[in-house]
Amino acid sequence: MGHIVAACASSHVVMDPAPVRAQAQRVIQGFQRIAAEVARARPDVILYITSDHMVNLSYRLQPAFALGCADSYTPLGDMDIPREPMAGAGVFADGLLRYLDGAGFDLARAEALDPDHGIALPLRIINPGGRIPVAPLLININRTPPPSPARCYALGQALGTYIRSADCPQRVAVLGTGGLSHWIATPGMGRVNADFDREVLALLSDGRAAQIATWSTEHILEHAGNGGLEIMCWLAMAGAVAGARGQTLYYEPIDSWFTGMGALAMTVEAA
Amino acid sequence: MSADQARRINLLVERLVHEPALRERYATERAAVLAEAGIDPAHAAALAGGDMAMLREIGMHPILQMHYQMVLHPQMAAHMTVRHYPELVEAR
Repeated sequence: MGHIVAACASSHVVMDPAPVRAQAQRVIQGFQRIAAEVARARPDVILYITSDHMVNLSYRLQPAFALGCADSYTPLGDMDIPREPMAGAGVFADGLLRYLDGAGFDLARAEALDPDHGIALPLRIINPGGRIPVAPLLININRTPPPSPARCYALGQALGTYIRSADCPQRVAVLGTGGLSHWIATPGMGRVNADFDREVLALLSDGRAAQIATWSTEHILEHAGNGGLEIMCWLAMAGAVAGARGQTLYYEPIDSWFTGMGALAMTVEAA
Repeated sequence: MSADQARRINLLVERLVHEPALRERYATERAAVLAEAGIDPAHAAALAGGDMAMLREIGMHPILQMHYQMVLHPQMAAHMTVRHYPELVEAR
């Protein structure tokens, strides 16, 4: 029987620190606190839930979800992120994908992925050297239409059910990254909605992710922008540990980055 | 904006991102590339200018707009970098 030994969420980008030194430092410290959480938990694999910036999931072909089943990944190198390979959790991902098929979630199977900053940037700190094998699960928030909050939360619950089953022998750290509120190339670009972001953090910390799952996609678009749909990745993470409470590690609305930045660690039982 | 034109524009942008040779042609023979992609010449000004409101008006996907800015202005990539952060670039 497997265990979820850590469950965390974080934003997944950085920008120019010059005008916001203190806030940028808090962002880096957020990654470092998750790194410490993961190191303490000693996972066999990291299930890494994030969005793709139309690098692997294209306009041409738009699956709602995709799961990387490869044994290694080399980052795309966007944002000058070093193209140092990371181990892939292929066997774990294969078992998970097969389970999800039976649970009503037919994920696209990816035998190769070029991790963009959404995956590669946080893992530079959280998984140094790429030593812990990673299974990237992509939620396609750029699809028309994107998968709904309810669907993403239910997917997260299915992830948790599999990991806690006899079919999964691994200790798994579940990470969800992206967000928080930001508007990308849409009216409102540059806006940050700190009230919305804090509400999301409060609900997740309070073990009430199910409430977010009742929101419509349109509600998130209105209050957090198209980039804010990345909170679906946080929601799926929370679904995996449904009902668990957590702790906000930091929150910073950074106007010059056009986004709210934050991180969160859920409280999971020691295994 | 017809759905068909928006579709053609988005498919072309995606090709521009992934095909360096097409990107080069787009810089020098833009009208021909647009014609081959079946894109109405009326959209050429919006595509050449890169103004986000105009790109939105012709139906370009927001994320592809970001990629398209890099096609028009490759130097912009220098502003999206982790090089300011030793924690993110140094080998560990």
